[in-house]
Amino acid sequence: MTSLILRAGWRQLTRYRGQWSLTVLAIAIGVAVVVAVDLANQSALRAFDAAHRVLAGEATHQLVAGPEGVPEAIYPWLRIERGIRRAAPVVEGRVLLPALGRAVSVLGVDSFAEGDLRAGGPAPGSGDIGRLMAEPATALLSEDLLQALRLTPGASVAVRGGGRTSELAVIGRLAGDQPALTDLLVVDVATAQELLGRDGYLSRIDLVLQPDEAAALRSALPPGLRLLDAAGQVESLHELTAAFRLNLTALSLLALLVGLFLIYNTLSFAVVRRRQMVGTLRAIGVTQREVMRDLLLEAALLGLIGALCGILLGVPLAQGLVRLVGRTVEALYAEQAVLGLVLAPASLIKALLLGVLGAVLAAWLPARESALLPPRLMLSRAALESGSRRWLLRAAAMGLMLVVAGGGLLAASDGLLTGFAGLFAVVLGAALWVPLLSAAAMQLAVGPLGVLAGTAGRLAGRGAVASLSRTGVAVTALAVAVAAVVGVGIMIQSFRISVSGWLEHTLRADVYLSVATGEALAPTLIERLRRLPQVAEVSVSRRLELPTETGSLQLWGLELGPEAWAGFQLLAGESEAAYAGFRNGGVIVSEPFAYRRRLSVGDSLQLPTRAGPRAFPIVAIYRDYGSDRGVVTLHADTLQRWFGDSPITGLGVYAAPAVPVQTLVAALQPLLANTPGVRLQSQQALKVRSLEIFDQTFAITNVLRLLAGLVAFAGILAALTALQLERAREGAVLRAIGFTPAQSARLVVVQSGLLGLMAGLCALPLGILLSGLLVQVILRRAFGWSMNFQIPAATLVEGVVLASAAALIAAAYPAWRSYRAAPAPALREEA
Amino acid sequence: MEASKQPHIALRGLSKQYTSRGRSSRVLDNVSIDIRHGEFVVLLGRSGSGKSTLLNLIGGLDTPSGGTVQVDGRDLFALSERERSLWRRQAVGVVFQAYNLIPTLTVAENLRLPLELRGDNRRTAVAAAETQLAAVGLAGFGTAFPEELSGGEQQRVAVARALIHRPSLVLADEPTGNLDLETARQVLALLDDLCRHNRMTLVMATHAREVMGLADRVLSIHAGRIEETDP
Repeated sequence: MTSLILRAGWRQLTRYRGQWSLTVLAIAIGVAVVVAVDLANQSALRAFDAAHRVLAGEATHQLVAGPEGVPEAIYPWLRIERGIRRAAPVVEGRVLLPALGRAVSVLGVDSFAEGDLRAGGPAPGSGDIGRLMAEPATALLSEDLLQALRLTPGASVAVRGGGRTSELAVIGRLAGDQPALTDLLVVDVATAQELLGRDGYLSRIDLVLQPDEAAALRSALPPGLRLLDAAGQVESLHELTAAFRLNLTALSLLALLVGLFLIYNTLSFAVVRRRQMVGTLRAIGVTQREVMRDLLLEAALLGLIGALCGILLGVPLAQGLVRLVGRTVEALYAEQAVLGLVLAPASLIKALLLGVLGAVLAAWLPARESALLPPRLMLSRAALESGSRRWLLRAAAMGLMLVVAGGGLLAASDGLLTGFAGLFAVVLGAALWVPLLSAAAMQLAVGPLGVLAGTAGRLAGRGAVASLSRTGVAVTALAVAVAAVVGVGIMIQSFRISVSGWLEHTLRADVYLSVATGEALAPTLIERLRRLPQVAEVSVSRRLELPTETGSLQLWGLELGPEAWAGFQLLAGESEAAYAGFRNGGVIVSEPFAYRRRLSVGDSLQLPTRAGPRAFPIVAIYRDYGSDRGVVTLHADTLQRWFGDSPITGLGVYAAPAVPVQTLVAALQPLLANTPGVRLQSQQALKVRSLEIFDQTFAITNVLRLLAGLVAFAGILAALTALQLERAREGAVLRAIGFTPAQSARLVVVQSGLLGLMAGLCALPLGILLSGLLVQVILRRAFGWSMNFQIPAATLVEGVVLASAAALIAAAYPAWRSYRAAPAPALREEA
Repeated sequence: MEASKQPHIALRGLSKQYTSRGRSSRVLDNVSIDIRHGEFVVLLGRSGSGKSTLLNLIGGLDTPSGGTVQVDGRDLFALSERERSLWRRQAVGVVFQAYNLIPTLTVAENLRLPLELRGDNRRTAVAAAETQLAAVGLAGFGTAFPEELSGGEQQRVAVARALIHRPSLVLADEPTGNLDLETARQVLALLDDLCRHNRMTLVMATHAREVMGLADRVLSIHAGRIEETDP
């Protein structure tokens, strides 16, 4: 008996191959998006870890100091006086390769101290690491650099750093092919100091210490030196990118959620279509459990096939996403993110389980309903219809509970994960109202349709309402997908408008000068600029990274006048008092920094200065979309006093009254002729470039949005095809009483269009709700940014058009089938 | 041939063959008959004998494997699909065994549908639907949905819908197959009465021998061939 039931179910599957294929496609796209995002995230994490292994090695601790670095005399002190044998000095930074026109990383190491501390030694037979120390100005290059420069060991390469150009002899290539071993030059410590202009100083000293050794060393350190836990540095990088990765994961789960809706829809269809078969089976003694098992097995099979296809689709998709993730990570975190795709088996297994378990979960409800329905009712269509109406009410009630639960979750905790959970619950709950609202709205549309097109119009309207018992979930899935398009669109627009406004307010200077990584502007240049009659004011900025226990901290030292100060959009703190406090040694912190550390004006911020830890009063909090890591801004004098000399990294030049920007640029250019590596950008060009980077950052979001839409499209196509199949008899009757093939097709198109229109209209409040939560909760918790909430009318119109168009395009195939269908077979089948 | 002498329906060498899983079965084999205007013809035969297939071919709902169906001298299958639909809309009424009312339309709307398809205005269609409902004994049921009616009532609505636009040809496929004896008698009498009163040609497929007494002619179908039987 059991095998016969399974056989009956299997034949049902094979008989309607086209429709099941669409369902498998929907699952596959959902799983593919999850796999791709997961693989991209895993690849990013591994790249960071690999970078850390190469750059920090197996060190347990790092000894660091202020901006100028660790005095090199500390190294012999550690080894001789403190007796620490496993210690390796490191000088690192970025240099420019003029031949390639881009900056690469340089890592200066002590060949003899390295031992087994660090990965990425020379490739076998390609050179001797000892030669790095013995021969000055020698380097090992990563394979990609050798290829890009078309060099072989033995050649030489020009590099620019510390304000001068040097020639390095290439003595070998680096072993290994980890992503972190790309764009990398390994040289001796002394060579690195020379290249980077850091004579007498090290970037840090990597140490392998037992906890008691670390504690003893910490208490014996001279002032200005700090011992950091190496694991904390990786952790902080992970934490830093966690919000970004979580955002991607959430978007991929959205695609899967839409996919799960569709599995539910398909299985509901299956139950409806085989209600007579199930009723008959139940009548002859098949148990509820056996019926349910059959349906769940089918769901698992579909899930498995869908997941396998999803993995096959997901891997190439992941390759594309990895590139986008790399670009976004670089734009957001200024981390070099040369990523390679890593096929993590755990990701693939997770995808398989997600597909199978997701399908079983989505099928559970319709399977249970089918199994529990008494056979007599199973054979009655009226019972089925009234069951569907109950379903609409039940879904709405469940939705209400979910909205309340989600709202409670959002209010109860301010964590990002709970934020996402709350958001999902609220959006899902609101989405469960879609079938009921669509039914009510379409019921209202029946009257006008009747006036417009008579009984045929009413037939279209009522048919669409009646079809909701079958298409309700697909319409909901379409509404959710379109809501995601609308919601994320509104979020991006709000974000973009806020960033644009911020740039407008912040960028006050007419021209900005900046230098390539590793370079600095000469103080004499500033004096010469100030003497130009075309220049009214010059603001000077110094950016430096301060290593701390919780990762690297961005300090920004500014020497600015009142005009430049007005460029700060203060979110807390009174402008005049804050300016006075700022000049007197106070700090202003960016909004993300204050949010992450829960700081307010009046609090003090402890920073590791060269004279030891010192508390700085926070005098203002300002809006800054430039970095979600957060920035601490000090007056140049404060920076100089507590952190020593820092290189000048940027200038803002204000034109004298009535001097056009072009005239100012023309006046500046001769002064910069002998200062290579300086980039001059007008305020306008900088704004344009900033918004370009913004758009690049959200490219991946748009791709995922599109994919969620694709899943919904496959689902609505599957639902409409199934509906057309189920309504074959009704279509045949209409043909028998005189409907032309074109009228039959038109009926399908009008009904689908109505469903799409309803999905689009329901998607609007859903999308606005989603965007509100994204802006007010998710972006705030993930990045610490607040922004203006703007709802562009075009995005709303786009949503309705998208949903209607998706439904109309999806209707093309069912309409074509309806056009071509001969009425006699359908009449014969049902008679 | 003069128009008045011309049969309403003329089947010539009509055959129909179905192929499934590589196996073909001939349901109708070289059938040739004439049906006159206003005639009540019963097609008698067992289940699967080809009665419904013949009705579908006469109504242009299916295409023959060979032969022709002429309606008033015009070859039905020389027309396009759209032209056949328009012909059905004007000239054919169909009654099914399973009633086949449109579940999402009310009883009155089901009746109005053929009229509105024909282009009648709404007011005329509403009035005609009321009259027709009264004619089949269902006055006052117009706002009900099909699922709210009994089987006999649904079939009476189906008969009303099939005849409301005064077609010249009515095709009925086992119209009493789902009904009890008494209700079946009522529906048959109604159909016979309305068709004769309006001089409509009625072709009815059935395996119920009690219908024979009402028919002008009885055609038996067996193994795809037709034999004329005395009514």
